[in-house]
Amino acid sequence: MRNTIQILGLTALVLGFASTTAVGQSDNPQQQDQKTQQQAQKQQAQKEQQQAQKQAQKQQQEQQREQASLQSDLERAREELQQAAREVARLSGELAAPIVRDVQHQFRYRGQRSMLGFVTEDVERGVRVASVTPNGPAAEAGLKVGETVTEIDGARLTDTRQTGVGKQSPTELLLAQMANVDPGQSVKLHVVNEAGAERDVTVKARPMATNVWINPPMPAPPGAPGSYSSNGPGNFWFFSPNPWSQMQLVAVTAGLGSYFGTTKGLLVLRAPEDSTLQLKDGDVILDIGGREPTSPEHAMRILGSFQKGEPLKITIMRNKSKQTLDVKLPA
Amino acid sequence: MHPSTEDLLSVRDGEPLDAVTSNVIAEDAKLEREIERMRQVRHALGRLPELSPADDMWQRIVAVEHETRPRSNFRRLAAGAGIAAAVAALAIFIVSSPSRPTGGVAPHAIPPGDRITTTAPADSPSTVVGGEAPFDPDSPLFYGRVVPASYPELVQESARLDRALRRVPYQRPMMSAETATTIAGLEDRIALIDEQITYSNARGVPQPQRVALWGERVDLMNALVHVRYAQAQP
Repeated sequence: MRNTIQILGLTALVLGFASTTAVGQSDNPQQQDQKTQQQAQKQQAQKEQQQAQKQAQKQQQEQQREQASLQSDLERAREELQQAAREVARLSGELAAPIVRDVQHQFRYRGQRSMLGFVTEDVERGVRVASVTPNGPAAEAGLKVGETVTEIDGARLTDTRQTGVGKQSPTELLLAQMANVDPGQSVKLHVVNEAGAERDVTVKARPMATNVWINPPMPAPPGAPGSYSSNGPGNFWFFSPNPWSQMQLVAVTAGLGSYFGTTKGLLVLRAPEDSTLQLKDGDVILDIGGREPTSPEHAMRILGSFQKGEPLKITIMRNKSKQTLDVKLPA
Repeated sequence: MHPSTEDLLSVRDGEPLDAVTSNVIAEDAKLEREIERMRQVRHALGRLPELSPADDMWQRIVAVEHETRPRSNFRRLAAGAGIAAAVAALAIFIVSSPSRPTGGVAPHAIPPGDRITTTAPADSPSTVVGGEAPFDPDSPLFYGRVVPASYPELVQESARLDRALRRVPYQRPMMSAETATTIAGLEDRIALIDEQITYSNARGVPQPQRVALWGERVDLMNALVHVRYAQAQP
């Protein structure tokens, strides 16, 4: 009996609690609705967030595709521009070839060996700089168009034709002085700018462009038509497919130098697919055939000075260790 | 006149400058402030510490060079359009070049900031059109049509292209062998022509031949400026 009462009491208690709970739930439908709504909202927000993420990813992929496409277009445009520039050089060279050959012949006769890299125009006091050769010695020394060179190594360039003292123009006087200057030798020019300010400029002479670029590697047969601009070393790669065209180079800086174990040279960012040069990504070119390249242009200029099939040595740093590659240029 | 950035840099570096430009700068407080700012920038750059490369430098160099620079698509398109236009201009030149030495029509790129003046009448064959756009280093090349047929015009055009080349706003340190070959080839040819012109001055070569040499110089310089500007694009 006592147990029965206890069980009944316990049952009542459980039922009461359950009843209370049930009443509590059913008593607040608004809260229930709110929870349902919140859940639905949460699900909706998650769904929207996922959609937004997908959308963002899609946009990003589209942007990347677009940028890759633009980059590709840009590269192609650059290549076309370079081809067009070479074609301009070829056609322009063909047009001027007879004149250049004629003047060149006389030039050799005068025995000039070195050049300063500017075009002269005779004025009374000396030679006015009519133009400066890009990347030439005068450009490096800071000579500017419009300035007048009045002396070279102390020798005056005053026009003597008018006074009757001599019969040489300022340009002839300059060339006469230059006939005694070897490539690599420095000359001091006294310069007056358009405002009348005077200064001395030291210019390091370089070999004549005629000698380094134009002289045919082999004597041309007599009467051969040819063009001055398609003869000579270097033109192989200028006018025909360059086997290393995809190679990417950058000059080593002080910061990069300590990483690669050298403070000078050209870093190969992307090695050429053609294995002739035996170069690998990360190599630093120290010298090509004994000449130290200072820029990608300079490197290609040096490579261009060799003939097809000619052997040469390239010194590199690979994994911070100096190596020499024996290379034979493609025939 | 408005002094160029190069003029201001000349003042900053104590280089000689023509009297007219010097006076213009001296009388303009804004330009004086700009020169002072340039001095401060140079001073600040000089004080920067030398940085040692990180261990992953090599990977980063490759990554950076292959990634797109942070420029908008519009500007990239503009750069591409500039190059495309340059290709078109040179292509037109190739078609018309045989007539150039006798005064044919040849389009030339006119990089921004250069003003070409001519005293020739507007309908003469040597008329210069365009080329007075304000300098904007990011803008694509600006094109005008130049028909330099006479000796003084060719010399003037050559000098303008010399200036334009010096003003190429940015040189990417990395270069493909293809581009390097093109630039080196053009520069070497210009060096050769410069020697020929100087020698022809001394030898008294007839004017038509000198005009032809100057014409070739202008053609080569024009091509070089195009390639340099295209190479400067990111």
